[in-house]
Amino acid sequence: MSEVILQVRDLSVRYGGVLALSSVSFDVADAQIVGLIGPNGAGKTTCIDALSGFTAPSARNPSFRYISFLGRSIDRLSPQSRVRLGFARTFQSLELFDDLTVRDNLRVAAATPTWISTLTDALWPKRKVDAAVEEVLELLGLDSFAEDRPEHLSNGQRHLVAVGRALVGRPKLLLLDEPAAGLNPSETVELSKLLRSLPDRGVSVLLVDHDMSLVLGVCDQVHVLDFGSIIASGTPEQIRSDPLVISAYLGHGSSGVDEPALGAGSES
Amino acid sequence: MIGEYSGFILAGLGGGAVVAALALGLVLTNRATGVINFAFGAMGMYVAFAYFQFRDNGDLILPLIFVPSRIHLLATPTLFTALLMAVLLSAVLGAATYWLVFRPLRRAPALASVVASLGLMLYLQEVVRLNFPTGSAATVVRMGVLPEQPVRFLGTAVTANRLLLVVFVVLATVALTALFRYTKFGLQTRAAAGSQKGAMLVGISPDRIGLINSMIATVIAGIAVILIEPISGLDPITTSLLVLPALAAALLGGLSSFTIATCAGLGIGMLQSLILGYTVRPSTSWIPDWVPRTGLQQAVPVILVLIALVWRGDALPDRAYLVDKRLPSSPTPRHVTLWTILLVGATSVALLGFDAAHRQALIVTMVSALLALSIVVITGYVGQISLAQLAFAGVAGFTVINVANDGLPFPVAALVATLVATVVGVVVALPAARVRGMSLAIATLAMAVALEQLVLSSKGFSGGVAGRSAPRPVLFGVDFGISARGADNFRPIFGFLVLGVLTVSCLMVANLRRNRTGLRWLAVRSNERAAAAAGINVGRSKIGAFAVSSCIAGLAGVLLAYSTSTLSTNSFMVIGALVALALTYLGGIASIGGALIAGLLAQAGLFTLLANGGTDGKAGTYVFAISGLGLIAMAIFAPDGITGAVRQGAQHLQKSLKMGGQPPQQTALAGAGAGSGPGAGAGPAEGKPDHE
Amino acid sequence: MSVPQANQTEDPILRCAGVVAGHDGLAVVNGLDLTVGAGEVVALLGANGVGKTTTLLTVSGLIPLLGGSVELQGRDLEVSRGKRIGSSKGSARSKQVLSRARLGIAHVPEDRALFFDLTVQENLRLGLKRKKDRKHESLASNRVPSKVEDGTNQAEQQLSSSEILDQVLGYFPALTGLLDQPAGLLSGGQQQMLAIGRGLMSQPKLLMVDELSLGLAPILVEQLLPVLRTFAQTTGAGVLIVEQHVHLALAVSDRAYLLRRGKATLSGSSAELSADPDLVEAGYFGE
Repeated sequence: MSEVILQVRDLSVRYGGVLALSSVSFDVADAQIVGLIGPNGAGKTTCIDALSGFTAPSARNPSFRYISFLGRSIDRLSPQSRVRLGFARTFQSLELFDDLTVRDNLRVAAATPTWISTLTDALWPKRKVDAAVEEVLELLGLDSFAEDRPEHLSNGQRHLVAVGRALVGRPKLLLLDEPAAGLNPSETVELSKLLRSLPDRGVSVLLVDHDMSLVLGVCDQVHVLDFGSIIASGTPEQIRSDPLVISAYLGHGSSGVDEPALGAGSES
Repeated sequence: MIGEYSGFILAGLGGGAVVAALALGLVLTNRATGVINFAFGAMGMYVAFAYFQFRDNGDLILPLIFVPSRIHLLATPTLFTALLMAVLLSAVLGAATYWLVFRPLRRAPALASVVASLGLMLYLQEVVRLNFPTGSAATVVRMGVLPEQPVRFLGTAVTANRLLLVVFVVLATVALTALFRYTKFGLQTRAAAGSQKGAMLVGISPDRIGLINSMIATVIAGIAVILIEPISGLDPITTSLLVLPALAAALLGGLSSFTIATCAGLGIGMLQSLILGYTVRPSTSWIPDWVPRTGLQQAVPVILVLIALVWRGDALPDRAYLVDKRLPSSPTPRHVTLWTILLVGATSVALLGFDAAHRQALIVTMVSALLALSIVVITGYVGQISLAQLAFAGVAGFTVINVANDGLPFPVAALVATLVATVVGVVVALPAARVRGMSLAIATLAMAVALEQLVLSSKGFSGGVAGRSAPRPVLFGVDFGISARGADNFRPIFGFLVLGVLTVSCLMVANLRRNRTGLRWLAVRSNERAAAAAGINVGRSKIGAFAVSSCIAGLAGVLLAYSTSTLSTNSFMVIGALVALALTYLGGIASIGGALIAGLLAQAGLFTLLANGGTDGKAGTYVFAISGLGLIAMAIFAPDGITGAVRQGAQHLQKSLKMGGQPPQQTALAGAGAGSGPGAGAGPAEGKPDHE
Repeated sequence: MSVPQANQTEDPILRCAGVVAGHDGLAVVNGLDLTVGAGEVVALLGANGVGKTTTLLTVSGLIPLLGGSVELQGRDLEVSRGKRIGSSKGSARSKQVLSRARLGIAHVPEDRALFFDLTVQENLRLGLKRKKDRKHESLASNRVPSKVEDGTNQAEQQLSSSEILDQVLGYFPALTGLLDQPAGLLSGGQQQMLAIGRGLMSQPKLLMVDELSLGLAPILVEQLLPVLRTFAQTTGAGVLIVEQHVHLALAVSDRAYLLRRGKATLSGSSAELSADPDLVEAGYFGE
């Protein structure tokens, strides 16, 4: 087993009176794709929000490490500091910068600013070509749309831009929130190919989705959330046959209706 | 002792009641239409003017220009007919502003409705100034509505009208609360505030909801301003600005609670009165002389607003905060070198060729453009509506005069002053980075008022009403001063100094916009959560942009100080800040070209000079009223401003030229390899994608 | 099926003929023909972006009809036809939506458009039609001789608002205990029930539900879809659903249309379509 880069221990998040995430613990290893699945409202997005620093954990024992990344505690870091350490995330609703072209959407995320950069930017008239940006554009096949604004792209292309913006900062860990929401089946197949290529590029992935076929098809390890707690963990094969999972997620008697979806995942 | 204070406090009930009434109206319109109407005080102000005119001689004066606006309705108006007229007029005014201004802006970004309501406020102020006899020419006898004899209340003498005003406001609050809680109409209003689409789908007409609530709100405002006249007087500008403390009260009520807004409004009025009473008392000697007494009174509600805003503020918007609204487009600056050469060349020729009057207008234009450029940076690029830019300019202007008079040589003094403005800008930005949208507009407006009332009005700093003068700027033995005798006045060499500063500032802003700093700004404007996820420190980006923009505003202030013989606080009043934002929006708030056009349109700039020349000065009379209307129209129909309209026009023209003039083959090529050929079709500057 | 067959010879509940519609003047739906009969559940299927949601938005009037016609029980829905060009915004649009809501179209949009600050009960009450419209409707149905003589329609028109509420809560008993909860605090499934319930409160002639399953666990969807079936059968209203889960949709509907590029490329009874999954698959994956 390769080195663990993200360690989550006993993480809880409370919204108002609702415990959205309850003592969740799991690891993500280097070059691993970990899936987080569960019915709607199970706390998947909350988990991503907490990991990326957009939501504060509810229990805060200062001496306890809730989230460790590359061996250090990141509990008190702001979202942008976590990005600088090697985090990247996408949003369920994409949240692209609609005023910027596709290339500029990526350029924004490509480099971290310094205090000096404002001054140099003011004096430097030419924009530099950024190798990382061009590389990601090519990887995702977005080069021909690079000067278009996101609103002119198809839904599938917009999803790619969102993933591209997360990849361009060369993250160690990519948190994907429902990347397949609203994609058609062929686009989902393309997405899963892309995801499987990421570990080779040194990127670990935490994938949240409720498309079972996608998650079970690409992940090395899957955790199932229900009502804020992890109710099952294991390889896709184990999860597929776990009775707890079937009753929580698929509902009983998940016969003809759900079989095709699972089948599609294994064949692709 | 205690009796003395309770006297002050009770005297503030009147002022507090009118603030509370306006706050009620603001809450009501916000809940029904989602708009914060900066013109709300001005609407009440107009109704009150119309009421007193009608009560006096039966004439109804409409808020219209260019058409006959005076209608003689009644020979002998009575209190009843006059009040009836005021209620009807308020209702019609509320309906008209909703239907013509705010309904079309329902889905527009906060900036558009801020600008439109500023336009409305400007228009109403001007129309009242133009159509009603005011000031020394006022011949209208203003007959109060309420009895003014003193009564004993809680052991203190207070005039009856103050108490009755409070009764009016409390009744209005109770009625509104009941309306919202117990009637179907109230339920529908709350529903439409939650989801417009849902409301329409269940058969609720959002227009009906918006219309009726706007009418109710305006009636409350109109009546309250009429009732307060004997206590606070009536003036187009100061009465309009009552909207500020009212906003404070409405915000304390979260823009949704009638009861809290009313209590806060009454509290603010009493607090202001108490402060005034306390500070002018002879025994209050611990406050140093340089602190402006009225300033303190005005600044307190403002500071309350700030505390309320920052308290409620949040570093990042939560998940529910959706930015699906289109902001003014911010094109990447293109052909910067070409434009620089053309504009600098043309301006140089003009500086050398123009006569004194036109040189003066050109210098005013350039200084105004610099101020507008600072607004382009902070509001256009970063989306932070700042109404404090003019106050920053004022701080720099008086600082440069003070340090230069203390003996600092010209360029050093100018740099110090610009630096001071930058620091003030950053200090303002620190709390402001926690709020956004409409709240930020209010927070910066509050800052501007605080700066104006406490700093710029301070005798020790600005010389008070008399103002101060800067020494002549001399650099390496060359005199850059503006003034000279007779026709040589407004010396071209000062014009070149201004041109140099403006050019360098524009170029630096263009560079920033094209580089990553600018991209980060636009990213923050577009979506703060996504910006943070992309590794951008949103707060620091905003503060950085505030620094750049207040630095530019500071430069404008310095140049303004050197361009006038005496700099006075009047140049930096809040109303001027509103006009500056408005003109920049008119020009095109998210592009450098827009700043330059805003400069041309500025008061006493080239455009007004030329327009006055063509119309024998008549254009000057209507310029504010027209620009008010222009702003409303722009906010509704052309949010990209004049530059945006020109750009679109040029794109259309280019397209139609291409279609007509070239073989179809080439059109297809141009379509396929868009942007591959640099220099292809070098004709019109706009509309051509530029590339590495 | 308990719905009287005689009704099929009359005007259907909804008839779309040659409908062209889309955002910003760009046609997403292009020449769509579609009918929904009384007591029928019809499913619109198809990949993303083929115009399913656009079709619903056009029928409820939220986006303008660019061409063709939409009729409710034989009545042309486009008010003031002459002015419709360019009437994509503002009051003209909201007039279209309001008039259709009052005529008996209930639309549950993808985002559900609930009033989060209001309680469940208030949300439901807002779904009720105005008394004026309810009265008007009963007059209209008296004048037009209807062959529906099973009595349910007549009975419904005499229901008081609290009886209607009880009826709707009968469809969604889970909401009964939540009446005083703000809608914003409900779970996703409860919100969907509330959204559909609010639509049912208006006793619609046509109920349209967009992506009922969006964000819901399949088990919930399997519970919710049959409610639509029951509603159509007991009241004789038409139901039009847009659904990504093809198999769930086919299981609950009478007929289905498969959309591609803004047109119905395939239509038929749901039983036929389920029996030939390849046909449907082809519609999703293309040639």
